[in-house]
Amino acid sequence: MASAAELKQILKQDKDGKNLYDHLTETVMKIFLDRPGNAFDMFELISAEVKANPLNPEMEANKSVPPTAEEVEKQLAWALACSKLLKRPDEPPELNVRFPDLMDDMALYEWAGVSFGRSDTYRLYLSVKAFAESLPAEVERLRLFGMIKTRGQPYYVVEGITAEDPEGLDEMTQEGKAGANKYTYWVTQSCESNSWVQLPNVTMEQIVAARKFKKYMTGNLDAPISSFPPFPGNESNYLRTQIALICGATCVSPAGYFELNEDEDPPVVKLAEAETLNEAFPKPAQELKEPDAWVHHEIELNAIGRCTALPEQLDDNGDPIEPDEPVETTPPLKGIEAEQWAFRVGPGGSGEHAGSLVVAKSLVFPGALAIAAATRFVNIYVGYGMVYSPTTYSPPLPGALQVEWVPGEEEEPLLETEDVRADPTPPKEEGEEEED
Amino acid sequence: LEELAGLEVAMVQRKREENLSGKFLFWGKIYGATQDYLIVSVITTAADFPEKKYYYCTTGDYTLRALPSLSEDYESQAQALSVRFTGDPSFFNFSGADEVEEEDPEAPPVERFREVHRLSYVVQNIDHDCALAPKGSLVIDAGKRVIFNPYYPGLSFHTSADLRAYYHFRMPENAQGLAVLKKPGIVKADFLDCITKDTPSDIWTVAHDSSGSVAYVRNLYWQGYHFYAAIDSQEYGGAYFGSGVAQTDIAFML
Repeated sequence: MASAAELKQILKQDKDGKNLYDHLTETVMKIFLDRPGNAFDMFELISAEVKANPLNPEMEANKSVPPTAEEVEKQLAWALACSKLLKRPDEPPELNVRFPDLMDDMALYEWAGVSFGRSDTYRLYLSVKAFAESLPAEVERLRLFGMIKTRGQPYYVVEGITAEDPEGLDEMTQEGKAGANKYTYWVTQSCESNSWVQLPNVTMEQIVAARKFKKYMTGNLDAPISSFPPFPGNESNYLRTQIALICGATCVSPAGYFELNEDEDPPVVKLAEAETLNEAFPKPAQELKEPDAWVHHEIELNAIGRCTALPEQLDDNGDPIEPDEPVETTPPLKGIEAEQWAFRVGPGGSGEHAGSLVVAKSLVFPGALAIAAATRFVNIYVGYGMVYSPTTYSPPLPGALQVEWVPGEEEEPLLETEDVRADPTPPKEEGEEEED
Repeated sequence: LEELAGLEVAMVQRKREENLSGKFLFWGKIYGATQDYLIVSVITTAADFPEKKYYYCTTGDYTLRALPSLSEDYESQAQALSVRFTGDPSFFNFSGADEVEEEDPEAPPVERFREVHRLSYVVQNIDHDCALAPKGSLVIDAGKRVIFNPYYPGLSFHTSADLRAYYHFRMPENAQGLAVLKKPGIVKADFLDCITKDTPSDIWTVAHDSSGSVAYVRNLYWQGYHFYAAIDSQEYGGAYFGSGVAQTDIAFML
């Protein structure tokens, strides 16, 4: 039997600076420090861990990798952006444009299951507020449209009324303020940035094309959209088109909130008078759960991509040309289709009461919500920007090949004319011949 | 808020009733037409691999019930369906037949393929495809069992931005991983399936949040699965919020 001193000698056999005695000591010390409940099972793991990170009284068991320059820069940039937002301005800013009170709306969103996180929502609110202060007064007010998720960073979208039409607006291809371009949209990609990019206006062709395919957005506004049929524009156009489709199809409000202003022609949707509002609202939750109680307050885009009718085209005589297939435009303030919406009440179940708020979820654009509570309502969209389709998508077939022209029965077929041999020499004038 | 309160009560009740010892995790929410399903998973450290059991409840009634296991016939029926969930667990009229015999309320319910079976199939499918664990969080201990690593140091900023740092939290299906589980001795190699091997390869996206302190991984095929991992910390988790229908058009959308 070896004595204790000999045992220690064996254990202390040094190999490249590591010896078993020290290792055993360290392992037992680590078990002592951590007191894991199942040290027996964990023994090998603890031993492996100790071999990897030698226990050093000055350094804690977690040796953390020092952050790289890139990470530090990114986090610093974020912190700077946030602190800029949080800084109080020296003088109170002019308030021309009303901005949404996101903190209030946040409570409504939460009942519907949508939340960006409290701090993030507050920073988004600050960002929107700062942006609103920089806009001209014609924009009137901003609304948070929602968040569109992409393969990269998401887009936060705000909506404002279009100030004025761009010059040279061709009514045949694009509607102005009276139609699909009633609102202008700005996007940003992080809650705390203060650079909002304006999205270009949408054209009819883009709307028609976008309905034919489904694509994930990449998160980069200049990215091309490779699709079939080809989409005229890049990702910022595609984003604007999807927003237009979503807005037209899913912006609903409780009936009675908006009414038609009959004085103008065509009738324009406007906020109902304060008296009517006070009488009609708050509506009990029971009533709001029925699809009859909701109306679209935005006009849905029709098959050719317009809200209003095509302007009349005059032909040469000055008579209006009737289009071959007149496309119907939807009337404003239309009721909603019951199959396209699902309703939830919050609080529901046993907590339901007459003043509960009602959430209408769109089944056509999953992620579009309309939330009504007492005298307020909000619309918000959070999602990838896609339509729900129960069937698998199959791309449209390419167009038929054009056939060659075949002559009709009575007509003569086209033939090449015979080559006419003409004498190239110029006719000789009588009596005159120029000799050079 | 209401769902949270209801779920807490239900989880405690279920835990005591069945005397479960595992970790209760919120798995996700599947939207239905009339009601939504809330799903909770329980992870128990059993032999070989942590075992997961699922419980569901609806937003109308907050008692957790176990999701039934499926026979092959039911599985094939579930696979064929791609319409939305209705929200009624006993719903069975999937083919839209006009004449449905009235079920006698007194008689015990007929054993048919119901929505609850479809729910079970979908949850297992989603979990098989989506449940993630960051690199290093699951290890094999001396007893050849896969366990959560108590010394998991968390991901660094760079590793978390790379898809290769994430693995599927399921019994490994690659040949190498299975072999590693059978080998004796301490194993330090990676044995789980890496998510970069999923086809098509772009269905996972990873991004940092703006503060750079959390990484988010999302699945584009099962639209609505989110996974987060806090950098340099042991926290991670994932959940599914969606309609339970996969995005089969994904080939056209990327």
